[in-house]
Amino acid sequence: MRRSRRRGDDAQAVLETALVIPILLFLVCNFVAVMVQVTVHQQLNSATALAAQSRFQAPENAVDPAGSQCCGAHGDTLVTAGLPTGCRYAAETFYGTMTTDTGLIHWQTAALCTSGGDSGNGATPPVQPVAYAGSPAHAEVSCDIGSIGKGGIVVPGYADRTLNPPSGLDVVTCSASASLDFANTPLAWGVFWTPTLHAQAEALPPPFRQ
Amino acid sequence: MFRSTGTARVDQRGQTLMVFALGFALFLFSLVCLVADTAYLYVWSGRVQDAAQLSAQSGADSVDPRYLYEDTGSCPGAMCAVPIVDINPQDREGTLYAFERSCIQAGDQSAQIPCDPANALVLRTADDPQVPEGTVCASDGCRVYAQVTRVVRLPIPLPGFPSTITVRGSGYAAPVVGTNVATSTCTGTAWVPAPPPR
Repeated sequence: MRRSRRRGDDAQAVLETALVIPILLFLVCNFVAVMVQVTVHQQLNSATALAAQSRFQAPENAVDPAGSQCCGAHGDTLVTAGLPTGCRYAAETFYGTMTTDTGLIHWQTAALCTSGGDSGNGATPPVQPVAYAGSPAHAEVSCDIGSIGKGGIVVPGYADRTLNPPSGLDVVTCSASASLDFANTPLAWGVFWTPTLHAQAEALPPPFRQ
Repeated sequence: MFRSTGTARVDQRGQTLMVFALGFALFLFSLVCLVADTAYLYVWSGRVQDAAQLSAQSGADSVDPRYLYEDTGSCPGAMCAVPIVDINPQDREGTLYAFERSCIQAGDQSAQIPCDPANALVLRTADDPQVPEGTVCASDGCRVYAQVTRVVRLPIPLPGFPSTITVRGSGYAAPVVGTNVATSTCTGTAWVPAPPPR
């Protein structure tokens, strides 16, 4: 009698363990996934903000000479010849700051260098920025950057009308979007969601570098 | 006699169960509070550190390039109160140098520091007082130093413990001199990695 009861208890313990362990592993996987998501999102925010700010380290009328190229993900290079140097600075800063394993991130690409966006207000409709001629079309970060072209032609950046209303202020904006794909990681066992991350940053022109 | 002892033991077992259930519930609640608060603080410490770095970079980008190219203007060398300055007083708004204004503005906006704790939507600007939370910027003549302080309200405060924690981040950045015509060297004193006075 005693022996069979003990054997029954053992079997019950094994069954309980078999039920609980997968649940615990599932929880641990999801905790780790949330932690990874927070870390990547923070890095994305930081990279985007620094990219927007780094535009002001280049003179406004500087244009990249023929043959210029930079950075890019997955071993790609972005050709920046003929584009404002600030665009290349922004891209270099972004890719230099985003150090997360690229296998985990699926980027939503866009034109690297754009101009002429407008946030709009009650009287003025919002305007989507337009890509510079020759801008790489599939960059992981997209920046709306003003510049001074040949002959002193001013190309506007992004007009933020919440600043200095109603005319707005010409600022630099950078944005990046990506989704995290856990399918190629050990976390795929228990993580069934694919978070989408988005970061947008705006940098105001400093008084002496416009 | 036997019966009454048995009943008392059964009653005590019920009491133990109740005490254990209440104690364990309290323990679990504390654990949830601790995990949630720690995660929240982790996120905010990262944000505040990023804000400090961006703030310092923004300040460094706002240095008057004429100073970097040895055009001292109305602020000759050792006479300057702050070594990295905007040369002309008219470039200054209020009491803040241009680099300070950009630095503080970027720090406050990036760390989402509210102007009024009751209304988180209105953010602080450079003209608002930067205490008890806010951005403080200083320069030693070679770099711009920024320190961002933010008071974080914990999502589930533990009873008996403070409901807010002060998080600080600091960063520094140097202005880019840039082209091949630059002749100036940094005239500042040696960098001292200490926060600016509040």
